[in-house]
Amino acid sequence: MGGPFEAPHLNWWEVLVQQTINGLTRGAVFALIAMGYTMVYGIIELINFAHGDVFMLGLFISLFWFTMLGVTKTLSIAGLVTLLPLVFVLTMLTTAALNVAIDRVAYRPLRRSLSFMLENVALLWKGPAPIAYPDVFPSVDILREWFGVDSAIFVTTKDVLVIAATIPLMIALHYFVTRTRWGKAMRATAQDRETAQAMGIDVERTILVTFFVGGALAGAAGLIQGMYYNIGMWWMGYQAGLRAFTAAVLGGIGSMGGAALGGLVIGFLSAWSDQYISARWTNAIVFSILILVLVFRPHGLLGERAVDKA
Amino acid sequence: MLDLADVHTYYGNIRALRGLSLSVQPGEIVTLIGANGAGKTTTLKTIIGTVRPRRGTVSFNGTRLDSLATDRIVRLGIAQSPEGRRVFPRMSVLENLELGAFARVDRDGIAGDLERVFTLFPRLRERIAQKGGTLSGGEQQMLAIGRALMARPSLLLLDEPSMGLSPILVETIFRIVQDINRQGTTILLVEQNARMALRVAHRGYVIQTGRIVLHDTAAELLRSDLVRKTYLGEK
Amino acid sequence: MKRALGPAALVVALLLYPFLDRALGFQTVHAVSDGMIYVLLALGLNIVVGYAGLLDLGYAAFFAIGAYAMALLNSPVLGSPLYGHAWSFWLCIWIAAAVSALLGVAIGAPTLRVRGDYLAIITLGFGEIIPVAIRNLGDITIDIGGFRLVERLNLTGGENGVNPVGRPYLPGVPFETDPMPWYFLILVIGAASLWAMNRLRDSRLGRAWMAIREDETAADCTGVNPVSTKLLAFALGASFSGFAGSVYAAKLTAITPGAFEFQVSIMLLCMVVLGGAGSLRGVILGGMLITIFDRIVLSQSTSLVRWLGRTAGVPLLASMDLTLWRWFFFGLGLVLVMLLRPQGLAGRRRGATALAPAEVEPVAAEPSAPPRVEAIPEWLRERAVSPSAGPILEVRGLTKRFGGVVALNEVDLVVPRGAIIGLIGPNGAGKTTFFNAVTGLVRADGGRVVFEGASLVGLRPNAIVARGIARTFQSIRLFPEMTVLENVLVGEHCRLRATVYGAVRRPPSVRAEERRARERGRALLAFVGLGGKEDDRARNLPYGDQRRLEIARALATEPRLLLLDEPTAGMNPRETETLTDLIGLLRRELALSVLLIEHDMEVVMRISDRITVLDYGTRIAEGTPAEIQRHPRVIEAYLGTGYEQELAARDVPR
Repeated sequence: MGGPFEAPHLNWWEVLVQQTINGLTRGAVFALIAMGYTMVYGIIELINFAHGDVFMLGLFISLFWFTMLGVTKTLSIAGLVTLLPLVFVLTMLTTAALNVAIDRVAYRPLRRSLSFMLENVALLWKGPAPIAYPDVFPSVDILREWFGVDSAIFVTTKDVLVIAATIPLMIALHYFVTRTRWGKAMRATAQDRETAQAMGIDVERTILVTFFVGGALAGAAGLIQGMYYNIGMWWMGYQAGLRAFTAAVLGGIGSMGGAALGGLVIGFLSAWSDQYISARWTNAIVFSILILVLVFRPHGLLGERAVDKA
Repeated sequence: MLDLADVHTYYGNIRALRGLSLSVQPGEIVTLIGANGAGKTTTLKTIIGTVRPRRGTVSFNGTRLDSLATDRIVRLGIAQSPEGRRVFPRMSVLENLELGAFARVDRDGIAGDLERVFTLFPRLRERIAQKGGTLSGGEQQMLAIGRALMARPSLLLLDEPSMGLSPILVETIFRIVQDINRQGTTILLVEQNARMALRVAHRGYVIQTGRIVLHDTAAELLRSDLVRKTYLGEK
Repeated sequence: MKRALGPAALVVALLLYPFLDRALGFQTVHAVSDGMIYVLLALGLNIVVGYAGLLDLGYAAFFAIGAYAMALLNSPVLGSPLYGHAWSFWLCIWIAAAVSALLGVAIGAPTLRVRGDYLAIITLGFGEIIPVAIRNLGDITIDIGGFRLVERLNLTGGENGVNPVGRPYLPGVPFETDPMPWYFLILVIGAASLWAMNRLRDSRLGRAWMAIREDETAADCTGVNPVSTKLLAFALGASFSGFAGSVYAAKLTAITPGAFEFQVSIMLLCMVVLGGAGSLRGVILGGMLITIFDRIVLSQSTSLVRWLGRTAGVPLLASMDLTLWRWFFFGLGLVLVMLLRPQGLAGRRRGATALAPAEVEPVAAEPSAPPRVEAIPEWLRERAVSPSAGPILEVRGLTKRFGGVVALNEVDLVVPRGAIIGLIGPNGAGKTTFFNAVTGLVRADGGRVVFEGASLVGLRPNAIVARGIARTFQSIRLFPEMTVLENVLVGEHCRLRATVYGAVRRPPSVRAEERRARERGRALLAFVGLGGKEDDRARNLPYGDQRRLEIARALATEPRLLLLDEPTAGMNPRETETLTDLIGLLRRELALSVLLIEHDMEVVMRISDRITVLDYGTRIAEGTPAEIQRHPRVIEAYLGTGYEQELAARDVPR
C-alpha cells in the first residue's frame, strides 16, 4: 500500500490534506470488508477469518473477468460505463458465491482454517510473486487537469472512483438491512435465531444471504483495490483482513455503521502514521489505538452495550 | 383442527415426550398444564417444528406437520408466543410486529391486523418506536402476543404468558387472551398458573413426564383431586 | 493396575526414544525436541484459553518476550547496555519467565475487563505490536528539533535478530554438539510444567478460572474476583511461554523476529483446539500431531512425492514442495476434526447433546423432601452469627438512572437482623435493579447502602460477597459445565486461602483446607436435598434442583444476608412450598436475614415480616403483609382487584 508521500515542496497543511485523502480511500476499502465481517459475525457469532481472503480473491477474480472481457489496458469512456459495471457485478457475484460455498463447506468449524486453504489456492493460482493488475481505470489529476488549479495536492479520478463506488454500496447495504425483507430477517436471526424461525423466517437461507452479501462486498473491495493500486499479492488477504477486522471491532462488532466508521478511522490513522511517524510502526500504532479505544469503550465506538441481565 | 398422536420427542438421549396425544378443536381455548420440565414447552416446539418428534404424528387441518420446516408450518396458520417472550431486543416495537407478519404478503391485511393489535394493546401503540429490549416485562409479553397475532394465525400457541408478571398484569393478559379467542382464534395455552389457565380455558390437559395423565373440561379439572393437590396447591 | 500401565509405558517410551532414534539413525531428536517446545507453549496457552476461557490470538508475543529476554541477557547485541556481560542460561530462563509474566500482567491489567471477542482482538493487537517493536527497536534514532537524542541505537538486533545466543553449561553435558541433552532438558521442564498445571486445575484457582469461563457475572457475584483471576491466568500462561521461549532461543542459538508472527499464535491455538481446550492430554496430543506433521511428515512426503515424480517422469510432482501446503493441510485437518469431534480429539464431551442448556427441558423432578433442621451443616451454624447490632442492611435514597429512565428513585429499605423482607412490584418497577445496585453489579447514581455498619458503595460484587451478602438470579445462573459440588466449591472460594504456590506445592494446610471445603460442600448439598448428585453436571439437573443448587452456592459463601430474586418462579406449588420452608428454616435456625423478590403472593404474604412495594422505581408502600394487602395504591398498581377473589379461593389466612 502507498508509502509515505514525500514531496519537499508541500507545506504542512497540504501534506495533511493529501494524507487525509489517502486515508479516506484506504479506509473506504477497509470499511467495505469490515461490513462483511460484522454482518457475518452478527448472524452466526463467528469471526469469519476467511473473509479477508475472499477480498484477496476478489482482486484476482476481477482480474480474471477483465482478462476474459479482453481488458488489459486503460478503459475508454465507453468501457467505463459498460464494462466496468459489468466487471463489478461479475466479481461481486463470484465472490458472493464463493463466500456462500465457504459457509456451506465449513459451516461450524473454525473459519481460520479455511483462510489458510484460500491463501494456498491463491498461491498456487498466481504464484508467490506479486501480480501486476492492469491500469484499467484512467488516472487523471483532477485539480490540475480539470479545474486548472495549480495545487500540490494530488486528487485523481481513482480517488473519486473509490468514493463513488463505496458510498452507493454502503447506502444500498443500509437500505437492504433496514428496509428489505431479507435484511429484516437477517437482523432478527442475529438477535434470536429460534424465535426468528418461529416467525416463519428460513434461517438457513438467511445465513446464506448474509454470506452472499458479505462476499459481494468483499469482491467489490478487491476490485477497487486492484484498480487503485495495480498490484495483487496472495498474502494481502491476511493484512487487509486484519485491518478490516480491527475496523469492525473498533466500530463495535455487529454494527454496520460502526464497521464503516471503524474502516475510515483506521484508514486515516494508517495514512497519518505512515506520514508522521513511520510506515514501519503503522501496524503497532493502529493496534495501540484500537486497544486504547477498547479499554475505555469495551464495546467499540458504536457497539451496543450488551445488557448483562441479572 | 390440531392433532398430536403418540408423539415421542427426544433431546439427544433425554426423552422429553413419551407418547403424548392431544387434540384441539376450532374455536377452543385448550390449556396444557404441568410442572416445570414435564414437557409443555417441548410439546409446543414439536408442533411449531423447532424440534422434531422421533415417533408419532402431528397434523393440522389434515396436513402432517412433523416433517415440515418451521417457516412452512407458520404459513399454514400457526403462530407462537414463546416462553420468556423473546422479543427482538434491538428492534422497535413496530419492527417486531412486522416480523410477526413475515410469512405474509397481503399488505392491506397486515395493516389491518396491525390496527387490531394496537386496539388490543394500546400500550404498544404508545411505544411504537421504542426498542423491544427496553420494554418492561409486561409490555414485552404484550408485544410477544401481538407479534404472534400479526401472522393472523388460526391457531395461536401461548407459552407461559403469565410468567414473571404481577397479579394485575396476569389478569389483564388473560382477559386479552379471552378476547382474542372470541374474535375467532383457536388457542393452545401452556401455563404454570393452573388456576388462571383453567379459568379461561374450555378444556385442559395435564402433562406429567412427557405424557398426558388427565384431560377433561376445564371446570371438571378444577374439581379433580390431582389438579387441586398438585397444581393448585390446595391441601 | 491396568490404568497405571499406560502412563508407565509412556514414560519408558519417552525415556528410551532418543536412544532408539540414535541406534536406528533416524535423527529426529532435534525435530521432536522443537515439537516439545511447541507443546509446552500450547500447554501454557491452554491455561488462558482452555481453563479461563479467554481467547488469546497473540500468545506468540510472550514466546517472543521469553526468547528475547534470554537472547539479550545471554548474548547482548551491540549497543545494549548489557553488552559484554553474558549471563548464565540457568539464570536467564527464570528471568525470561518472570519478564513474560510481568508483561502478561502489564497487558492484562488494563484490558481484561474487556470481554469475549473484543479481548481476542486486543491480544491479537499485542501479538502484532510486539514483533513490530522488536523489528524496529534494532535501529532507533530519536530526533527532536534537530537535536539527536538517540542515534542508531540497537536494542533488539532488528530484522537480523540476535546471533549467537549462548547455550547452557553443565559440566560434562555436551549441549553444543548433541541433541540428546536438549531432549531431556525440555522433557524435564515439560513434565514439571504438566505436573504444576495438573495441580492448578484441581485447586481453588482452577475452579475460579472455570467459573469465569462459564459465567463471569455469576462468578463475580459468588465471590470470585474476575479481574485478578483472569490476570493470574494471563500471567501464568505468559510465564510458561517465557520458559519455552528462552529454551527455544538457546537451542536455536539464533532468533529473528520472524519466528514470532501471528501464524505461530494461530498454530498454537490450533493445537489447543485440535486436541480439546481444557484437556491436558488433548493439548499434548494436538501439539504433538501438528508439530510432527509439520516437521517430519511434510518434508518426508515431499521427498517421496519428488522421488515418485522423478521416477514417473512427471515434472509437476518432481518439483512439488509440500511444505508450502502446510496451512492447507492444517486447515483441512481442523475442519475435519471440528466436523467429526467438535470438542477436540481428547476433549470432554459437552453434555449428552449439543443443545444449549435453555433448550433442554430437564426431566421433571421427583417430589423433593422438605428440609430438616437436623440436616443443617454444623459449620454453617457457626458462621451465621453476626458480629454487630442494629439493622443488617440499611439503604437510603438509592437512585439509579439508565439514560433518561429513572430505574430507582430515592428508595429507602431497611432489613432488620434476622428478618425476611419482601420486595414486590410490577414488572420493570426496579426490583432487580435494586438487587444489582446493592450487590455492586450496577453502580448507583446516589444514595447510601450500609451493611453491618459499613458502606458498600463503590465495592465490586465479589468484595460485597466477601462482606457477607449472597444472591441468586431471576434466571438461574449456575456454572453449567461444572459439577454440582464444584459449583458449591466456587461459592466457598472467597473463604479459602490457597495461593498459586500452595495450589502447586500442596502443603498440609492446603490439603486440609481443600478436604474441609469438600466436606462442607457435601453437607450443604445434602441439606438442600441434592445429596447423591454431587458429581452431576449442573446443566443436567432438573429445574427445581438448579434453583436449589443456586441457593446452596449462595449459602456456601457464608452470607449473613441472602438476596433471592424470584426463587419460586417456574416451580409447582409443591416445590414452592418446600422452598418456602427452607427459607423459613434458614432464618429461624441460622438467623439469616433474607431480602426476597417474588411474584407468588401466597409465598410473599406467608413468610415476609415486612414488605416494600416499588412502582416505577419509587417506593409506594411499606408495611406488614396485612397492611400491604389493603393498601389502595398497591391494589391499584400491582395486586389488582381480582386478587381479593383469588385469596378467597385459596383460603390464605389474612
